[in-house]
Amino acid sequence: MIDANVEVVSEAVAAALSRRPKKSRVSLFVSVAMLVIVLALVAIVPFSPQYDPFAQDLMSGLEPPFADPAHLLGTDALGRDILSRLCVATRVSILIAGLSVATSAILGLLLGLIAGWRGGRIEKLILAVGNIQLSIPLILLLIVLVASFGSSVPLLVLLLGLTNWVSYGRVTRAQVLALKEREFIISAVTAGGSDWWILRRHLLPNVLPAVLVLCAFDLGVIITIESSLSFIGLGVQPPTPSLGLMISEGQRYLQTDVALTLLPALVIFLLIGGVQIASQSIAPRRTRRA
Amino acid sequence: MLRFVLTRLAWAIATLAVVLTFVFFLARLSGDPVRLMLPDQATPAQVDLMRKSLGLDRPLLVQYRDFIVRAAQGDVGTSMRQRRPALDLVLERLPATLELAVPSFLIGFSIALALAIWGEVTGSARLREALLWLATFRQSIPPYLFGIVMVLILSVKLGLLPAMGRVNAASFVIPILTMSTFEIALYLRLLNAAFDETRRLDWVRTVRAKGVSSTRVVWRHILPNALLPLITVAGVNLGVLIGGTVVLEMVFNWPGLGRLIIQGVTQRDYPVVQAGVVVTGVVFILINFAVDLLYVALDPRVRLA
Repeated sequence: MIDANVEVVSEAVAAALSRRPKKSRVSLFVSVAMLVIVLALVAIVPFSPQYDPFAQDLMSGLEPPFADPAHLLGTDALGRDILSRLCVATRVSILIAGLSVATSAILGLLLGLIAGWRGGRIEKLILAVGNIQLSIPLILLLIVLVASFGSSVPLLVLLLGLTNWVSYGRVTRAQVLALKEREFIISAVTAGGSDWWILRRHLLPNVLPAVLVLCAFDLGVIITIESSLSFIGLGVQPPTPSLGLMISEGQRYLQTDVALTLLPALVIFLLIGGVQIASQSIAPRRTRRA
Repeated sequence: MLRFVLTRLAWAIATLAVVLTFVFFLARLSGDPVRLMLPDQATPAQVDLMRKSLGLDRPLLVQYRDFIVRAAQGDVGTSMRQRRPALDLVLERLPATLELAVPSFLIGFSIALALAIWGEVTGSARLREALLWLATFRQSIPPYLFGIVMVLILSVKLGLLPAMGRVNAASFVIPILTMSTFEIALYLRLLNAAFDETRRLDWVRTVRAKGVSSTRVVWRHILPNALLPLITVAGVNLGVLIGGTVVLEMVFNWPGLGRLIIQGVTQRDYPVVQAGVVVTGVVFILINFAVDLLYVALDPRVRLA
């Protein structure tokens, strides 16, 4: 219903994405610092002697952080080690986000290339499907799909991946439309290059940077959505730990045991913030338009 | 002009039809509703009777046609739990959600606009950068999480505001604070990008060279041009706002549409979920239809094309 303005939208999105603070070194440093903490959590904790995310010990539940050397960050209501659970939960979040972003990027890239290069009826169809899909907010769409199909981790990856392609499709198509006018593409067509060859040799390398920037930005968005779904109980299911689930469990002890909420909250903040700031600092400066 | 409006209207109706088709077939994929409604000890004869009384024994396409015809008359099924029309339940809850979403959008958008103009008029790159950092950090905290942290600070620690429910004016503060800061961050970044684009255009430089004051350049020249594409983006981003509100309602026990839908999912009351999605879709389609018309009114390039 907004197809006349699709270019405007994708341009504004691209502009917003490629906006970076002038001192990109600062933002690169901040994002690396944030991500290093998260990665340390994921990579080092499994080797520590206290690592066991599932062992319950009801006698030593709800221990505060730094009180017990056996549980560095304390325990939850069932006496499970919080540090270990944070580690596994973060890994689950990164896994889901990474795989689903890859899925939607590939799908969007493919549909965007077809739409931009072929044009005509198939372009109209792809744009229409994208526009219609946007008329249901993504989270709501996912809630309905999860309600129908369930929410195992592979299923979540698939559902998140298949529903989030629209922005990739739009950005790719807008880029292809611009490239179509350029001399090197026209000469490739005139030289009798096959569609497949032009796609691989000329279009893909030129479209890829914008798509990768969008991927980096989207990681943060998908982590937000996945943790929201898990928070309301429709994402990752127990006993698999997830950041959203840990927060919803922690919310019950907000009056007495703040660490249960704040620790996973901190990890989410570092993870999303690190990825977002990184996506801004790697974005290529937007070329000036004539 | 009339043709443009009619095309848009046709689009809106087609979109709605697709949304209805989607929820209908999804409901059929999600399992046998009769099994969910009857106890486990029900005999096959009882199951058959129930199926017949619900019309589920007819061919799928006949059921589909029936569903669309009924939907056109405003009937999208009956709640299995509450034995009431699902649409009524949804419409009862819709105002509570809009009470959060509309003020959050208005407050968030105007503050973002004010901050962006402030950064532009002073021409201070440092100020703009500081604002952008703040926006990025705010965007790194999902709405539900920000809500919980605000509850922790403002209700649990300071005891200033109620933590949940919708009882008086004070209970609106934390949810609206949460959603409007989210909107500020979003629109501040979009506005900044738009201003960045416009700032270095030739005619802006010309106006500056003529000696026009910085305030006037921003208000009269940069702002209208930067604002135009943002209207469309605002229409689309409403989905993000509604999505955030849906989850936020779970944090605050807010009696809105989102909590109704999520409860519908956990209680396997599919008609309610269905009605909730359709109503959200309708709201979204209507707003984007209005945005399209607004766009035509504001941009002569679209009107004359």
